[in-house]
Amino acid sequence: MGLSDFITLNSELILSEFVAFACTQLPAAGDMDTDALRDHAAQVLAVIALDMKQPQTRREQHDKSQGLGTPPAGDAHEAAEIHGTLRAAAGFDVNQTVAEYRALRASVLRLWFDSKPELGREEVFELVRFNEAMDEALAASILHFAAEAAHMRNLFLGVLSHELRTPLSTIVTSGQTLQLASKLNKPVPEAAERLLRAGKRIESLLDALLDYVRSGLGEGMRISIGAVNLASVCEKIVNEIGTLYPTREITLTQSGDVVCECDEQRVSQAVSNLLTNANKYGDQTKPIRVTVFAEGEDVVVSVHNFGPPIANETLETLFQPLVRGMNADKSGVNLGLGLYIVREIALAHGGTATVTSTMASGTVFSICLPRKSNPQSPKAFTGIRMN
Amino acid sequence: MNINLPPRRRHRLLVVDDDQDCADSLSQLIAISSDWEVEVACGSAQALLQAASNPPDAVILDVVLTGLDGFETADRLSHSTRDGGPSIFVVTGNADLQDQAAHDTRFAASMMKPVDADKLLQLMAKI
Repeated sequence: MGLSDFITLNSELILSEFVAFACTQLPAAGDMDTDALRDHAAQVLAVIALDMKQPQTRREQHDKSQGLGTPPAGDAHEAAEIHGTLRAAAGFDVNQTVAEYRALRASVLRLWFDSKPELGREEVFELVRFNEAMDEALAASILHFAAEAAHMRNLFLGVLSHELRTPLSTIVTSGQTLQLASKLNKPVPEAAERLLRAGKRIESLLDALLDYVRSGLGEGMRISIGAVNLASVCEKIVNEIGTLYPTREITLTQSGDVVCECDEQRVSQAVSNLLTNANKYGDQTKPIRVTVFAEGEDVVVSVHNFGPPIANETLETLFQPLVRGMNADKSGVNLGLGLYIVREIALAHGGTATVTSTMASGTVFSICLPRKSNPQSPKAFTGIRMN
Repeated sequence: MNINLPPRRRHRLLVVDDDQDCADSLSQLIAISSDWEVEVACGSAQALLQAASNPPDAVILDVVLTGLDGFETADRLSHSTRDGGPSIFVVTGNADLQDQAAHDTRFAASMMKPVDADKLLQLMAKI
């Protein structure tokens, strides 16, 4: 059977093999819905098969191989472009995208050769056309991948600039106020307090950035393990947040053995990030509930707030940087490193960070840590790369 | 008898920013170094409420806000009073948005954070 017919008739089989490869071999694909993985690959395949059936002169073939050919009508090119954009947004890097196309090509050819086709002149030409079509799709995909990655990078830098310049402005104007006030002999203690808070804010931001870049370089998060009572950690953080936001009600309950081997400073950071979010995004009229409890071999810290539920599609992306503010308006973009770092902290301990959200029950973020230390070697970063 | 009152000196300022400390520090600096009467609003919703109850002559606004963005907020502020609304000065940490605002005729001026308060006061004196 000719190759293009083979592809059309066996697309399900080809795609199954392709999806199996993607799920096991590509870390970034691990969380993806198989339907999402399959859909664009299916489109790319279908139109490649179609493209192979078009009669083609040698001139056109030559032009195509030089990248001068007119892009195939609409669909395959568009699908490849969209593919590139989606892959970048889902955290695939260029290598993984290329690997995906390689897997698609290999699946097709392996299955075709297994069917023991006649290998005459026609079949050889078809093979050439198939590879040309795949290369064209790959090139389109990568072009758009690069454009999307550049867009994300610019967005990140823009948001970073904004987030640093705001506390910087507080520092400059508060400093000037203190200068003037000292000439006028007028005490302005609140200006000094603002200066200190802004300094702390810039420090946190820089720490978060450093964690983020380190994880991007595959360095992972360094943790130092000790025996820690997680309820005490939570109590400390609840009090801190309570001091900053005195009108907010936060409750803390514990059950079971909540001592675990972990990095106290890092876990404090994670709980603090979760509480800050709950305070910022949750229903201000209802209390925030922090619960620490033992669950088998693990200890769990969960932070609950009421408020508008988070859509299912958004839930997983929350742990990625650059997530739009949960009100989903275009102005609400922030760096979104808080949750990313929460997850990195959990993963560094061999634990997990998860979220559930419904209208009725509200939103719950949970960090689950193994009671006995189980530190992980640095995992490959699956977020937006800066290079 | 013909009494011509001098035009009311413009003196009410509203500072709008999502970040309370940033808004407070700018407003305190302006209050201490000029005769502007300054109010602070944290976020666009509060800004519109306050502008309605105590119409300002000038507004200092960041264009990155939760809820309505700065551009939308500026629109609503201009329509809030019969004389075309307060003069609006954009102050922001986002270079692209600052550039966009600089070319937008709705705004009297547009500046990057950290705020150069002297320059801002000079511009405000002209309205």
